[in-house]
Amino acid sequence: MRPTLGRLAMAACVGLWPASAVEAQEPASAEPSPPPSAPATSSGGAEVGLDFWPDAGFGRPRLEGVYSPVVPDFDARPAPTRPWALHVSLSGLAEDGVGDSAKLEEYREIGAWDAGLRFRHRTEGFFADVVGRNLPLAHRDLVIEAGRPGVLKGRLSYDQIPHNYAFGARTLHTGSGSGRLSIDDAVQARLQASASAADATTRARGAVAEESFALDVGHTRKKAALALGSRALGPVEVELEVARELRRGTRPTGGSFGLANTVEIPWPIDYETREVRGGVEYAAPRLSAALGYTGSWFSNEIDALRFDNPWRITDSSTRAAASNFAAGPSSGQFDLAPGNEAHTLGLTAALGRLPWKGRLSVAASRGWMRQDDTLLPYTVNTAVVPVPPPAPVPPFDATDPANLPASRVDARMDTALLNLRLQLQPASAVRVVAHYRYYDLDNRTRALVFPGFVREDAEWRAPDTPGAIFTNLPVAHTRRDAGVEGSVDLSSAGRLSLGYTRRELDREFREVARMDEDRLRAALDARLLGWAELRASYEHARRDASDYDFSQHHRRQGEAEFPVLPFLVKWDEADREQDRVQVLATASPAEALVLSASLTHGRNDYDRSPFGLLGDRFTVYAGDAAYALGERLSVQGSYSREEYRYDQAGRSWSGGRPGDPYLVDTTPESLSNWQAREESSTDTIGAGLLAAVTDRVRAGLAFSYSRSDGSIAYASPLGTAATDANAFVPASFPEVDDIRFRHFQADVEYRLGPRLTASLAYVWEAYDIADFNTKGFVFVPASTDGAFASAIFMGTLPRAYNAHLVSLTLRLDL
Amino acid sequence: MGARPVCLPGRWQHRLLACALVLAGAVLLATRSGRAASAEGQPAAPAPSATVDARLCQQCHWDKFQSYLESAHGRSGDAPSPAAQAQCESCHGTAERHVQGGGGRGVGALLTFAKQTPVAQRNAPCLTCHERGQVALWHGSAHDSRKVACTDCHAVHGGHAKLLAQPTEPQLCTQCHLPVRGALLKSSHHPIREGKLACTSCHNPHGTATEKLVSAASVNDKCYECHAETRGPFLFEHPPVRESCLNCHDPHGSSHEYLLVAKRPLLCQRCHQNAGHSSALLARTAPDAAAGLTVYQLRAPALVYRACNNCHVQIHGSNHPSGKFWHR
Repeated sequence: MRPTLGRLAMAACVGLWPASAVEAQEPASAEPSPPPSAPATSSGGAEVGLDFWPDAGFGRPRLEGVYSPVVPDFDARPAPTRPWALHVSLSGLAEDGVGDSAKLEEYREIGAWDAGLRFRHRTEGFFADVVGRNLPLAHRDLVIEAGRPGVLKGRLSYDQIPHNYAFGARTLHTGSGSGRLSIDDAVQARLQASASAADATTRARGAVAEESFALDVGHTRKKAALALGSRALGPVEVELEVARELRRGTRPTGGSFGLANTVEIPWPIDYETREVRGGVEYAAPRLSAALGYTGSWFSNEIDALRFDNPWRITDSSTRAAASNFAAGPSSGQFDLAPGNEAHTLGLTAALGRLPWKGRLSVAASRGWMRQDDTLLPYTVNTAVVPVPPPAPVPPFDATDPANLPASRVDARMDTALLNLRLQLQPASAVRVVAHYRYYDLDNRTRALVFPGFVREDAEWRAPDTPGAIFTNLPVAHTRRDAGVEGSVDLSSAGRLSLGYTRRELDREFREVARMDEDRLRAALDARLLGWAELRASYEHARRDASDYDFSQHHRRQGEAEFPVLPFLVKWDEADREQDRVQVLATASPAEALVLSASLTHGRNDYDRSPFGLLGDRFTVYAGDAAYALGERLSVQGSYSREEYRYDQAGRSWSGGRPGDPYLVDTTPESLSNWQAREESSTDTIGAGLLAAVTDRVRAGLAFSYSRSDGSIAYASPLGTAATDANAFVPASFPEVDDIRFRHFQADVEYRLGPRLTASLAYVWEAYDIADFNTKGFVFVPASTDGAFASAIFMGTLPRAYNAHLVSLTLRLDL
Repeated sequence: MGARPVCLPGRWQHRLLACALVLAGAVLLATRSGRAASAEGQPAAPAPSATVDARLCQQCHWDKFQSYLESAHGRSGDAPSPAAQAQCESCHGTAERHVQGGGGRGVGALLTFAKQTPVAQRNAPCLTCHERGQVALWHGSAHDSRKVACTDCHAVHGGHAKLLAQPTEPQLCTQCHLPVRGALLKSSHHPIREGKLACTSCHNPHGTATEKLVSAASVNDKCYECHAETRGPFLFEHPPVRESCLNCHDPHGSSHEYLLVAKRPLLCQRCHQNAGHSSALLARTAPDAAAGLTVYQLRAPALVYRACNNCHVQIHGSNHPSGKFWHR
């Protein structure tokens, strides 16, 4: 690990302290003497030191300095002669350009006022800490800790996290946040009465323009927790924590009534999660063992979401193909996240002082996940009358849950984990670590047999093959890892490690039943010249999969192989060659200078996959430098560049037409094949400085800039409509999530007196995005002929902002 | 749907309040005995096992001593703490020769925790007490194997919360994990740079039983802690989702929405190219692009906006009898 500026900061702090304090550093005398007078605190020079890293924007002190009174000074300590300290701060904020983008306030609120406090109490037998941040704002949190050192500790916390997706979105639905999203019957009737696709587009656009509602899409987490821990019983430590989290609000989601009929809606969130954690640990010099339990109960206050179809006022029994107003249900219904519970019982033990300085550690756990929700009916569309192909099943009412094969899900999953690690040191410079890990996910959910299902609440879908069934497949897997790593200390300053790990993965109900992976790893960690460190590692892994059974999913249900592309190998089940290289170099050639650079490169090749993901590459270069110019100024700069590339192949096809791998193009070669190369890069620049201008004034600057550019290049052999399912030259997408994020912050802190500090801060933050999905966005898309009213969106994609914020903070230290 | 668990019934607010009262009472009791033993803010009397009175150390190292005094290490009422053991010598070794030699750098062979000191020597004093709890699986863990010293991350004298050497965990961890620093600034991110989550929300740098030092039995188990709505188990599972959330998401940050590792629809088409729309070449034709047509002017609902997720919404799993394709 690298040296940090903490050391530099300490030196700087010393320089700021009163001369009397520095002079107190006299050689030791034989007898203890009274402690030297404390440095000028609590608003003394020590607090204006350089005791933090100018992190260029993403760290809590720099980013939230504007919004939060929890400025770095809160790390300052109270005077030693007083057992308590209280810091209270109040901020006023002015803003410009915040606008209607929710991105600026994605996880925070920009408010006119802010306040915070920190209280600290210390005596030999009691401690208490209270920290409250952003107390009037939506992202407030409060932590109270108290106890008797070494005996009892309690922690009460409250945390609130907003998550805003979009401000000022538009929707035709009322009832946002509830389980029923309704559209005015008149609107539905008017759209259903469209004369043509172009007319439907016009009518939909008119409805959105005149009859839609504005809404903010987002939710807030509120979590309260209480934890108690005790070491009153000597080597036995007991911990207990209870927590409750509420989530309320909405998030954007899509709802469809057929391939050409999509409407974006606000998904209601009304969740509650309760958690209990408990544990007891015994620790002695040779043996430690801990037993723990975690229970988690999740419940959803809204069982289902029923949402109206803008284009239909009456139900029909078929799906809209091209003219969405001509067919489809009047509404659809989602089954929302089911209430569920999970329990985990874990044991961790470590046995030391074995031969060869050996140490054995064991971690084992058993988990249970349960969910037994009531099943909704197949559909809410009253016009759908299922006629399953097996003759014994008569037509039935698909809206009646009594016609389901079961009334409840009764889903069960059990997990088991065993992790063993044995470390030996047969010679002083040699260390061997052997490890074994077993993880099993056993899915005991019962398989239900369905005669068919209702696709998007629009039409009955029976199995393609007579006699076939639809059933849920209880996917499961078991993973075993075993390996050994040997390392040799080349000197007191270096270590060379070599390791080998074999992984075996067994799956149920997937295309590949068994995968093995062999991984070799070499690492070098060295300190050079006493002031530089080098850390390098290389990994190579080879993964082999057993036979790829591309149609197992369908065959399990009695279906024919169709319609899966038989040549495609899913990347997470494919043979793979993987390489990883990581190098990190750190140097501190002078006391006040720290330099570091890193290179990370990786590749994955799925060389036996003709379709799907073929391979990927990534390289990340990064470097930073920090320098303390004298005792009153430190500067820091960093730069990183990430480059990613994914190569992918596909084939456009449908049954009996060009590209059909079963009937027409039965080999991997086809004019309907296509290739895609997705590339992206991200450059991140950070710079900052922090200056103790005088003993009373501290100033800081921080800047960060993140720039992401992406593109997708398509290629495809050109054929005719008779031979090529994509008989056109595809254009590439030069703009794929091209994002610019800039953050600049300047702040000045002035110590008005021993107990009062004022801070003035300015922040400029700008966010911009260019993407083929944000370019030309309209609520109701339409093709050039005015048709294609297949979707109504709410407008929840991220929006740009350019905000200026100024804050004044007063802090009182008592 | 929405069946509420039967366990832990009742009003939680009341339970929480009751627990808080119990906590307050316990703390109060603990405090009463603590007060009697304490001379506020003053160093405790020398521990029996110390060869040199800590008050002597502070004559020269008063700044270090001050931070020690205010940290958990300086509480003599806590039996295992250095203050109750051999004070400064608990970590730095016998100081007799150092004092007799008049002090100074290198005098008396004290353990200094400087970079030049072998990592094993630097870590040994810490592990004497902290080889338990969160640190129980330290030996043989990723950081231990790479010769990371406790003092590389913790500044025992004058550190921040948890004695970290940097004010926040992201600032500390990204000193070595430099690529993550850029990821945290990306458009789609967890609220880490807002200070609501930290590295240890998901990782235990002191060692775990799971890869990448994830502090749960599996990656998914860690994600479920906050995203319990995706836990299921579901009637219709999406197999790669159940195996690892990382198949589709990069939790450190992404330029794509929802922390996705690739752009939709290509992300989905890595695995799904069935007959019909899922296999289609979802792009504009070159003439359309040349004419300046946006994707919203094309007949490609699977391409625009959130692509496949416009319709396949329940991608984490569906409990609906008609949710075979995760539409419902």
